[in-house]
Amino acid sequence: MADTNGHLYAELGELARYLDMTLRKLDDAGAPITTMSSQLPQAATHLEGLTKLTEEGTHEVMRLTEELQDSHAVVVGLLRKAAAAVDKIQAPPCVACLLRESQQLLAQEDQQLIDNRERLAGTLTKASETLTKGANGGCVACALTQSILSLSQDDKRLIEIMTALSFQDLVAQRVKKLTTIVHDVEHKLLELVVVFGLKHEGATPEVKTDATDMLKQLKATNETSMKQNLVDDILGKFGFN
Amino acid sequence: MPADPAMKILVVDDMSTMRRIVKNILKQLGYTNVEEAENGQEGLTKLQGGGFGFVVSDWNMPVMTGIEMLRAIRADEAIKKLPVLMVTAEAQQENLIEAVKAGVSNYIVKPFTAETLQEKISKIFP
Repeated sequence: MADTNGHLYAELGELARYLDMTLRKLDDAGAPITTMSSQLPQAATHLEGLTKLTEEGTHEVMRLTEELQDSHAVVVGLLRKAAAAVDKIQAPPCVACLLRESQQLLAQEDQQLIDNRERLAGTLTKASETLTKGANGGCVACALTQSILSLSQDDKRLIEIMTALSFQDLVAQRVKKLTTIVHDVEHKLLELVVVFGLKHEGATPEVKTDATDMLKQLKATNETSMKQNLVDDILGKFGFN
Repeated sequence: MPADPAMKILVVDDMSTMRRIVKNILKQLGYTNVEEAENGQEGLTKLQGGGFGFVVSDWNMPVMTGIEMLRAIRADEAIKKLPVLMVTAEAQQENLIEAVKAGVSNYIVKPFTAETLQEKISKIFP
C-alpha cells in the first residue's frame, strides 16, 4: 500500500512539474502569440489591397486594349471602303487580286460556289490573261488587303491580351482563400489568448519578427505613397521643371 | 438554331474584370446586347424580368452562387429552358458533375480563350 502511494505521489509530482513547465512555455509564447494575432488583421487587409491593386491595373490594360480594338475597327472600315473604290477604278486587276478573289470564291459554301461558278471561271481566265501579259507590281488593292489582314491578325492578338487578363480573377480568388485562412488563424490565436489569459500587446513589448517589418513596409506603402501629380508638385517647389 | 447576334445575354460574375473580358469577347463575336450581374441573386432577378436568350455565369459568387442560380433557373417554369454556360475556376470533376446534374448547357474552365467561348456558343446554338 505504501509502495502504491509512493508511486502515485511520484507520478503526481511528475505531472505537476510537466504542467508547470507547459504553463511557463505558454507564458513565453504569450508575447509572440499576442503580437501575431494583432498583425494578422493587417496582413489580411494588405492581401485584400493586393486584389484591389491588380483589379485596377487590369481594368487600365483593358481600357487601352478596348481603345485599340475600337480604333482598329474604324481603320478596317476605312480600308475596306478604299479597297472597294480601288477595285472599281483599278484596271486591269493585278494577278494577286484575281487569285485572291478566286480563293475567296473557293472558300465559300458549296451552294454559293455553284452559284458563282461562272464568276469563278471568269476570274481565273482573267488571272491567266494577266499572267500572260506580265504581272504588275505595286498594286494598291493588294496593299489595302494586306493591311486589312494585318489588322485582323492584330485584333486576334488584342483578344488574346483581353483573355490573358483573366489571371486577375484567378489571383483574386486565391487571395480570397488566403484571407479566409488568415482570418481563421487569427480567430484561433485569439481563442488561445482568451483561454490562457495571455497578456495583450499594450502590456507586452512587441516581439520583432520579419513579419513585423514586412507589415510596417506594407502599411507605409499604403499610407504614404504619393501619386505622380503630388510628386511633380513637390518637385516643382524645388525648382524641377 | 444558330445564335441570334441580337439576343440579350446576361454575364454573371462577381469580378468586374471577368465580366468585362466575357463582354469584350462576346462583342468581338458579334453579340453586343450584353447585360451584367454581380451575383446569382441579381442575375436571377434580371432573368425573371424576361428578354434574355443566354446566360454566361461564374460559379463562386457571394449572396448566391452560380450553381444555386442555375438550379433556380431550372426550377422556374418561365426561364427553365434558358441556356446557361458556366465559366469558372472550379475545375474539379465533382464540380462539373454537379453542374451537369443541375442542368448546365456547357462548362468552361478559367483561364479560357475566345475560341473556346465561341466553340461552346456554337455547341449550345448549333
